Amino acid sequence: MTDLLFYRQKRVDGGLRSGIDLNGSPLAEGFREGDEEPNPVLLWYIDLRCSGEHLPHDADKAIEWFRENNDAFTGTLRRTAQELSRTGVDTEALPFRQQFRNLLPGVNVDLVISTLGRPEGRDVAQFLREFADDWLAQLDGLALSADV
Amino acid sequence: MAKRLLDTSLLIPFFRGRRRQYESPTVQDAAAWARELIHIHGDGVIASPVYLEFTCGVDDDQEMSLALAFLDEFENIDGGHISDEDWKIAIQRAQRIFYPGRKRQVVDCLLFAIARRLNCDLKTKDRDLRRRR
Repeated sequence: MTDLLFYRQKRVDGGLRSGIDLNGSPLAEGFREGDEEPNPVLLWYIDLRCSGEHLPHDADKAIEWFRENNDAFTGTLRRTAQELSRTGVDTEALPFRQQFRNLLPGVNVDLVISTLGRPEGRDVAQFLREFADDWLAQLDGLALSADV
Repeated sequence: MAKRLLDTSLLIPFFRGRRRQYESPTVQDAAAWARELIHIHGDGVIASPVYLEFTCGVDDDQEMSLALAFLDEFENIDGGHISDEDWKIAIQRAQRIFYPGRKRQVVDCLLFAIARRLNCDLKTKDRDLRRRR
């Protein structure tokens, strides 16, 4: 079983980080610095945690795999955003989690969202839409990790 | 991933919540609670100040055994090393009045500094760490 993670997370200082991990180790990452004095506290993070028997094992193929499945992933993000747009998400106790078992053949996908507090929880739908809208640009902007 | 450094404000409520569900938990149970929390957040990284703050809140030997088993499941990213730069940043933060009447916490200041130095993103529920500066 292979675990592949595509994540996006934003910090209090405005810094925005995206990346892909394979089995817990970084494959590729991109970071856009914030415009304020550095503050590492996370405002929110979104994880797309994928697991399956036939997922790619190197950075280039993993990026390509997420690119090829752009429609499936971004469609799911947008639909989930639509569902959450009225209510927001309460992640005070634990992160929000939704499982998708039929998104792609042979792949289990977990969407996990955590926010710093209730104010950000109300804006989760917007974060999901931005993740979807920036999908390909994010993948293009990832730099391969040094230890790949 | 840039490590998601977990703050004490996440660990303690989770530990206490699980602890209440057990009459006589074992150290294996406590280790399993930690692995569950690590799975939830996708990362299991803490820093020395978190370790220190967590253990300072324990008040008997049996609970300490559980706490240590719980904490042992996490990676301590600073390895017990607080650098001169960490102290400098922590002191700077300690000396800032974000809101009149609101005090800073020693652990928060150190954790903030370590996260900055080690390029970690800090996952917390602590209001004081949310201050933008």
